[in-house]
Amino acid sequence: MNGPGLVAYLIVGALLFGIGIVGVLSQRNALMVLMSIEILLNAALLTLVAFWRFVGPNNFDAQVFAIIIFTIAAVEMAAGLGLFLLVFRQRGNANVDELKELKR
Amino acid sequence: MSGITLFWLAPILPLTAFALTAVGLARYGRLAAGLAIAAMAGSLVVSILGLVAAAQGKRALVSLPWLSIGGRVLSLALWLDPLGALMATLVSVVGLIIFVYAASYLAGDRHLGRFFAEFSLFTGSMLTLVLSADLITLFIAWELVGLCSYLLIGFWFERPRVPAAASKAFFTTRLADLALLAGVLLLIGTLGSGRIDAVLTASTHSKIAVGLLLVIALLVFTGAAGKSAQIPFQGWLPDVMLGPTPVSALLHSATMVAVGVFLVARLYPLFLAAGPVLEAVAWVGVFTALLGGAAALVERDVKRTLAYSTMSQIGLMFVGLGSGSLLAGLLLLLAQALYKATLFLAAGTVDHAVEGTAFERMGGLVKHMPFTAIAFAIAAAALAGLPVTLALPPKDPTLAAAWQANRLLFAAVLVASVFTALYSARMFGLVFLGHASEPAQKAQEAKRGLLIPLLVMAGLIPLGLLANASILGHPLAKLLHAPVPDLPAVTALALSVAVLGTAAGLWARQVWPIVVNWPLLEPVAPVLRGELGFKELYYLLTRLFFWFVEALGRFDRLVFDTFAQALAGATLALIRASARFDARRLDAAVRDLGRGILVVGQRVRVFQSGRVENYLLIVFLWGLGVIAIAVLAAVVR
Repeated sequence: MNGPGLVAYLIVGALLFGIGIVGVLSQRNALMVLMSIEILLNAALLTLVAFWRFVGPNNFDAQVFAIIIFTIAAVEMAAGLGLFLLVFRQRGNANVDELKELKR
Repeated sequence: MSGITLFWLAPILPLTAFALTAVGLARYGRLAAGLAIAAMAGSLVVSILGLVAAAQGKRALVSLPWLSIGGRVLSLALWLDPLGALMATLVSVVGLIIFVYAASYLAGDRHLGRFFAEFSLFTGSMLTLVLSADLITLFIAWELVGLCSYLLIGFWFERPRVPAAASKAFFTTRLADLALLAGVLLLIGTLGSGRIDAVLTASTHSKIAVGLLLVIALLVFTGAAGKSAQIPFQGWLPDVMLGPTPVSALLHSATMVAVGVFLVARLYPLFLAAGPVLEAVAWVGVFTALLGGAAALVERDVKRTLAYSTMSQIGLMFVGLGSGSLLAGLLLLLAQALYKATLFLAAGTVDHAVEGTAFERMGGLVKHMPFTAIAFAIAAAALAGLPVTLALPPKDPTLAAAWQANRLLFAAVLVASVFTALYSARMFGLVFLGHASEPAQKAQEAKRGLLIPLLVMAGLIPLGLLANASILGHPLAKLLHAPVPDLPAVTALALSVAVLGTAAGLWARQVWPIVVNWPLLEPVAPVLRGELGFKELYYLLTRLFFWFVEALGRFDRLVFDTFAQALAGATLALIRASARFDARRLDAAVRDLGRGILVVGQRVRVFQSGRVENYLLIVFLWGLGVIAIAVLAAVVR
């Protein structure tokens, strides 16, 4: 088996996860936050697929997880985009840090 | 439809009039007056029918069981017997005339309805009293009469001194009523029944122990003396004059003061069996007669003079009864009711004419008010003992009975008769003869509404006296089983005394036409006006009583109040300690708990920034923390 090993994949996954975390925490724009969450999900997905490939290639259970994560990502994107579209329409922007109405 | 079946309507009709007025007719004064007069007229008819039936020897009883105490049934019962029927007729005759008079006398009064309600209750209770067949019924009616006299005397309660006079009358008679109640209860307890016929039978057959009988008779007589204003209860009577004149007229003639005499007459066999008490009755009567007569000689007010005269006449009735002659007392009672009512009605018209009852405002009224003067003269002559008709003066049987009983008593009664003649003549002279005072010069004869009842009443006097002596006297005597004492010598003596006294009284008025008092009486006048020291005695007794009450009050303050205060202080201290505990401990605990929760809440609140990224950061850090702990755990293991 040639090419990069498990560790390389994990490092890339961790980097992606870190980028996602920073994006989620630092971005004001809701669209950017959603994209960061997408990166987080993809980091988890990459890690999952890497573990399947290097630890148990004969066990396809993890593939089911991968598919579930895709689905969640798609659904989340649909719901999140719809939500923030409405927010944008109402307020003229979609800045996450301004959505503080629940606090009193 | 005869007197036998309907006699019980006599009291019921006025009582119904009272009830109707009390529940709402009082506002319509004239309607209430008409109703009361109609009810009285009905009572009169029923009473006369009853009297006719009773004179034929018929008897009737209406009984309503009331309550049962210890197996003894107390009932509300009315019966028809000669004495009751006679009294009922008298009450309704006099009542009716006075009702008509009062309707004119108080025509403009705002409270005419209330007056007639009380008046109806008064006569209704009086009729109940004279017809009652049961001692309890009698006592209830007795108390009602007392209550009504209180209400009526106090009719003008907004005027000065009136409430005091009403209360005085009420409490004095109430005091005596206690004795009567005790006597009645003793009788019921002894005989097991309050029925009057049972009492009379038991007395005639001496079924009651002698000592007990004496006590009962004394108690009953005390009650009678209270209502009839005999010594020592005489003080309330003159003050009654502050009430409206029709009230005085009714109260002094056939009702209220007459009930004492009636009670003794009703229970006469009981008193006959209790000899010493009967003697006491006579002596109390004669002393009251002398006292009242003497006080009337110096009185300056026509109505008060009449009041003292009533006291004195009632005293003479008791002399008649006490001397052993039922009829002597009764005849005088019947006659007195007629002429005293007339005198009061005449005094009322004079009062209207000169706007006052003091003698100073009167004099020479015979020219201005001739009809009133005639009525007054007839009544005053009857009071003095002059033969107004061919019949004997009503006082003679009393004198004869006293002569038969005790010569000393007779002498005293004779003196009282002289007093009577003197003050009657004096009163007539001061009001109608001599020099006219300023108000009297402007006086005019009374309106027809007042004059007609007055003249009817005066016209009844000779008729009544005639009936008294000749028609009623002897059949009644048979029915009551009481002989009429008749001694020609005594009659002659009484007559001469009356004539002399009247002449002296009138002559004295002519000699000193202006002065209100006779100079001869001037030195003793204050004593007489003080009712021979009785007022002082009452005053002293009152002072003693007040002193006693004050002593009790001091004791109360000293002992009970101190105790109560100590108790209150202790309770207060306990309460304060409890309050302090509450404030410092319980309240503080609750407060601190609340405050603590608040503080924690404020702290925790910091995390809830509302910023999504902060929440995410927390989640992230938490995740990091979990991983760190997991790694640490793995390393440690």
